[in-house]
Amino acid sequence: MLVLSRKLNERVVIGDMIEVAVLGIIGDKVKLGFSAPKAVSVHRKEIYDIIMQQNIDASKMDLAKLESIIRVLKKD
Amino acid sequence: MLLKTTRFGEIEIQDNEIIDFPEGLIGFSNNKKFVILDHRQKVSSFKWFQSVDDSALAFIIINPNQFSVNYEPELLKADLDTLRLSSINQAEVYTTVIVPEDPVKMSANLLGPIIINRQERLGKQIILSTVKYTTSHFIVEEIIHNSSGVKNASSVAQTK
Repeated sequence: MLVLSRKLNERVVIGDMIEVAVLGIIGDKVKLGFSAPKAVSVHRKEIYDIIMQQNIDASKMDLAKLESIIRVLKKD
Repeated sequence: MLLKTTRFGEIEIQDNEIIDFPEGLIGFSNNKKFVILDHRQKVSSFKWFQSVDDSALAFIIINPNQFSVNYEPELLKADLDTLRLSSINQAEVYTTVIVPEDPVKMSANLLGPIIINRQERLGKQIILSTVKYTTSHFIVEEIIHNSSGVKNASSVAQTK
């Protein structure tokens, strides 16, 4: 991991198209601003990780799982 | 073209069924092409979201409007633009489904819907910035409630 220290209002450029700015520092919170092309998504990592884990779990579904859905819905 | 899948064997698909996901899915950024397949028993609500690049990668998906009348994912303008949509109303929206050991507890990921512009054959998985929705929304009760069985719907409502 590249580690840089920035002061308030200083910026970082990633590649050609992504910029990160330190917009505010209040207590233990840092407010960051992001400029990136529309196609590049920016997410809080903990949310990203939750979605990724959901995808990984969801990718394990097989035909038997869908059969069990049908059984549950037909029962009623 | 002939598509190889581990769940369904080799199946014939049309090129125009292939949807491009330039960013892949979250955690699966290298899988950039998918098709939507009907389950062989044609359970109309549930479909398969199959990777074209990886025969083993597939997801059970459902259109959340099948169970959640009020599901309104809010997309950033940047996401609408990337998908060449002028509004979410033009899109096909799906969520992945997880069926745990006890299938009654099956759930849909309402926080990370898959948004598809069918005309442009473009898609993206969006992470919504809202606390309204969760990644594990239980769907059985709502599906049963919304289905045509009036008797069943009333009995479910009473057990609430």
